[in-house]
Amino acid sequence: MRYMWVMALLMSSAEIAIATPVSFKGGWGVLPMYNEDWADLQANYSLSSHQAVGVSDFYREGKDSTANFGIGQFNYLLKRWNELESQANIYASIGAGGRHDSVHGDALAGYGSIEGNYETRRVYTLLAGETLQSGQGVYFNRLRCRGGFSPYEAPFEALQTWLVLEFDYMPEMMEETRVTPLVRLFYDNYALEAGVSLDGKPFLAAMAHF
Amino acid sequence: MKNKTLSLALFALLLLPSASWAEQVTIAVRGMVCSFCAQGIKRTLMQNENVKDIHVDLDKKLVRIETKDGTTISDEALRQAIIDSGFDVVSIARDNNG
Ligand SMILES: [Cu+2]
Repeated sequence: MRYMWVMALLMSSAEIAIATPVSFKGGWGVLPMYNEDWADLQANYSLSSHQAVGVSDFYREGKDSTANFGIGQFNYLLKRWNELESQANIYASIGAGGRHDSVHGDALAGYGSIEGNYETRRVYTLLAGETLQSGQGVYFNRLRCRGGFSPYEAPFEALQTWLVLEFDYMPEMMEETRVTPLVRLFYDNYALEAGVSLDGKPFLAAMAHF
Repeated sequence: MKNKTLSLALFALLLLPSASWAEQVTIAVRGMVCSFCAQGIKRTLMQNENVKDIHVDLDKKLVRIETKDGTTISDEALRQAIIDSGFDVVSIARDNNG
């Protein structure tokens, strides 16, 4: 099942975008993320620079079962601070759909998340909390924190490189916070992220806006 | 006959600047720090049929647009395009090269 994500990532490499929850009016975004014991895939469409609708698939390897969540969601830009040398954002998402669990079977599911980020041309930070809830007490929470920097300021047309440290806390899946150093590359309307966690789990993500 | 050709040529030369009349617009944008997010500006403005070329300068936080010959784009349309892309406009300056 998890290999489906790698396939999707490879097959769509020509068109994927590491999308933000909301992009620009009329913009499409695709965000596949893969981390061996979890994977996310989201496609969204921005109705405006503040609102987007999307569909997502979340794959989670729990302690005694694995679950797949299919979610239809609404993403909202709660607040944006556009400054001359920085941008900061707060996004919220809510969603509903279904879940298939290897032990507990099918059930209704709900989703909620809140995310804040701050970036300059050289600094990037992100804090995000997420919850997936479903019947029979199957749920997954996640707290994610990221900090990164860019070693150089690239012009608009050039490749922008970021070195990022990600901290992932998924209490229903792992005992300890997972720490992943990763490289983040921006080129044109594509973004690609790749890294390996300190406990040896590969991480791959992509974004595309088109 | 020669004179007539010459004056025609001169006349054509006089017409030339106005025939290639295009506008250079410079928009100062607030919040434009990320090349990936700023792609939205390019994509949104490119949808405007009067836009010929766009240049994004992340250092100076400027978006420079060249309009197609004989066309212009209103401040309002430019402002809306920047807002739809998720950014704010600081100022709009025009330079008619003609
Ligand atoms: Cu960005």
